[in-house]
Amino acid sequence: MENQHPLKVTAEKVLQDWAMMIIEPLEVNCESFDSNQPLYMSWIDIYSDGVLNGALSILAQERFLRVLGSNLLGAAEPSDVSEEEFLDAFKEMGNVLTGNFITEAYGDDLVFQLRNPNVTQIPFSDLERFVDRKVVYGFTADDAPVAVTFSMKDVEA
Amino acid sequence: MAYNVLIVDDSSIVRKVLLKSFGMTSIPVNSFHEAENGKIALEKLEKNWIDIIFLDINMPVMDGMEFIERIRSDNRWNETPVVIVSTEGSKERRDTLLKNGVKAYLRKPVTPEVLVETIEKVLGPGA
Repeated sequence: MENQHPLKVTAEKVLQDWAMMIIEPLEVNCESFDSNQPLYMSWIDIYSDGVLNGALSILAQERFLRVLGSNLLGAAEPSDVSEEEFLDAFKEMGNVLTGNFITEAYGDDLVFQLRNPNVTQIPFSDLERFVDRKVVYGFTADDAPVAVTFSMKDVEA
Repeated sequence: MAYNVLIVDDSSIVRKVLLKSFGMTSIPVNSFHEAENGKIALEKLEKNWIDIIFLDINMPVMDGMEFIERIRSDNRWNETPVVIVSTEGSKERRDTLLKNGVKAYLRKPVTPEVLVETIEKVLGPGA
């Protein structure tokens, strides 16, 4: 069933249990994010049998990233988190989400490697191509928008 | 007895979160050492007595697999317990590492409860 897609299930678990955020579903479109704020993408390549099979991406803005960093580090305020810290937290979120998603979707038997975790700022105009993807889920996490999407060749979730 | 712990992960957030998780347990810790890759971890081992290593797999410069090969071939450290902390969870990878002497394989994220269970399992009850 669509609303039980393993990416959605895993994202909810990671946001609530690992990132300790309160989440609500969010329909992802170009109005979901603030066009006056930088947009960040965390992504990680998924390899299986040494072949690049896909990638998972997360989109978020600074407000989300500061809360994420603050929750993980136990900082008193999101403003106490440095840019380096919140970007590192975002990269790690990509790592945690992808690893847990692959296992949720394909079980323990699939041998996979996660490579090239990266965080970058992307032009706001790039949001459109994420919105149009087949598998994309949005949330407000502590009132800040975040979207997750993945693409995988050969192996269908 | 208080333990000397080495945390090896290229993410400073992961290292800090693990430290924070330790702080939420009653595990007695004498010292924490951090390394962002296997090469730096080897340097830490050269200079410090380490009772247990928490090790990520995917790291630049020297990854976890190479690090394990290096310490297992060195008499000074081949008995030092290693616990893998990784997001990759395939059974095959896990079984291979456990056969190669890794004491435990933990999937991220690691909770304080799992940390305590793991330390007791690896270092013995009463940890």
